[in-house]
Amino acid sequence: MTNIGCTRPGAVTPEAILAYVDGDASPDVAQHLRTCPACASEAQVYSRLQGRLGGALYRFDCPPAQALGEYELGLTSPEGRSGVARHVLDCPHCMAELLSLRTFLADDMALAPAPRGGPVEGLRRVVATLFVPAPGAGAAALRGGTDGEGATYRVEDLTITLGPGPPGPRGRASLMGLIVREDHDLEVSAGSTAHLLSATGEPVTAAIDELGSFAFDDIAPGNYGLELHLPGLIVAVEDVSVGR
Amino acid sequence: MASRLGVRAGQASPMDLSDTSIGDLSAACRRESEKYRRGEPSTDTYCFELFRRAVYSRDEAAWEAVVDQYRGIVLAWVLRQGGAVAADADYWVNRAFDRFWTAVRPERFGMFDGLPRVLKYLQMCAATAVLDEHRVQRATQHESLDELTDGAPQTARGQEVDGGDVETGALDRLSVAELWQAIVREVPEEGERTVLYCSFALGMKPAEIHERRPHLYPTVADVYRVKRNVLDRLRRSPAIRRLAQVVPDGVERQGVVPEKGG
Repeated sequence: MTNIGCTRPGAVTPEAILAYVDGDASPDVAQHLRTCPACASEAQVYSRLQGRLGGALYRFDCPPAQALGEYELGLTSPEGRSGVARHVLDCPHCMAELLSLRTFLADDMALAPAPRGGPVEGLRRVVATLFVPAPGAGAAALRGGTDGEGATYRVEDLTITLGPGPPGPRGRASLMGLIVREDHDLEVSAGSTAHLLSATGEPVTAAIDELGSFAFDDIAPGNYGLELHLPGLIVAVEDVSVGR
Repeated sequence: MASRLGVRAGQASPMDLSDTSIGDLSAACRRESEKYRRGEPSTDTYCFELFRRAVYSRDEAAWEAVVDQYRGIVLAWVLRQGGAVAADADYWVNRAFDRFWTAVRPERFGMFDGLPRVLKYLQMCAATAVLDEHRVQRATQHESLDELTDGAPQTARGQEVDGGDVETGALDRLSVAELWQAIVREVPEEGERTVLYCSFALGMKPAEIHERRPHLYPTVADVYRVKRNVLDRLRRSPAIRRLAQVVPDGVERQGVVPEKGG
């Protein structure tokens, strides 16, 4: 197809004119449009049409930023959460906004107390207690206060599930854990860590990922204490037996 | 803060503060906040009660005390966002508080189980006020200069960003939902509609559309072909023209005709 009145019929296609409007055209097309009033006019029509459609429709069905914020804070209803999640997966703008909100909200510096003496002083420390044995964790490697099962511990709105990981070489053991926060996403930061403490050896440290999971590999069977260092909070789990 | 006391909306805090004046609450809140900042044992009961009175009871004096107490923290959040936002910090601090006040009606105060969550929400308001402004700036780039409107910042849908339902300018003349429905009627084929949605709702260039949907559009040229086809159809649609006034005068004379042999 070509434009009525084009000075060189067939020189450029309508798609090429559209590409020119989008900034994607070749120099040949740009050169033609500088000399052909009909094609230049056509480009102007496309430009205005796109400008007005874009002005009216741009992000017309995106949730308001406030809704993204409430989603991030776990204040959205279950139905609303799935709707926002579906949209965010498809919308790069909302995805970027959600990630920037997550980063911004994870930083509690303005609310944090002034540090005193050490990195953990002034943090709240709570002790998780055994809730129910985790079903299906059949291996006898970890007792967590009960015999022969994985275990679930709770404190405040946190649930910590511990279970045996794959057995290591030469009788060594492993431990896997998952932290879940009731009602909303767990807040973890780059410094969120899990520490396995024994009476006889150096503590072993593992990172807690953004989903709240952590793992200790190749550890000696024995009784341990577990500390989870989360933003503003240390959660202690006592008497964790591994590989016995 | 050190303690997280659960208080239902509308109920006084567990420590009975119902007879405590706003002035005394404010002083106690300030004192406990200082203790908290020094890492000493503290309670958030007084500060949370201030918020409760402000939001749940819509007590203006309590709200003024809240703003006075937390203005510095909100300012710190605003300054962390840098750039033009930090340069106009007072404006954005006020926007954050306005947004909080508008969003948290009395019936919603129950979603907060203590001061930490209230403050986290306030922090979120400081961030989303700026995000919405970025959205507005991006949306207006799509509008031709003669369509830009005066007055308060607008969303792409012509709503005032913070509160109110101001409708002005070109977008006042159309309902975006109605426009999109008209487009759906004109463009029933999903592959074509996807190009429109990605182009104008998501602001993607054809190359990006091809990258994200290669199964639908194996080449960038395929995207351009579909896009041109659909735009030509829309510019001739009376419904679209009426709704969005997207077609300038004289367009009929500028149409395209099939090329010989093409």
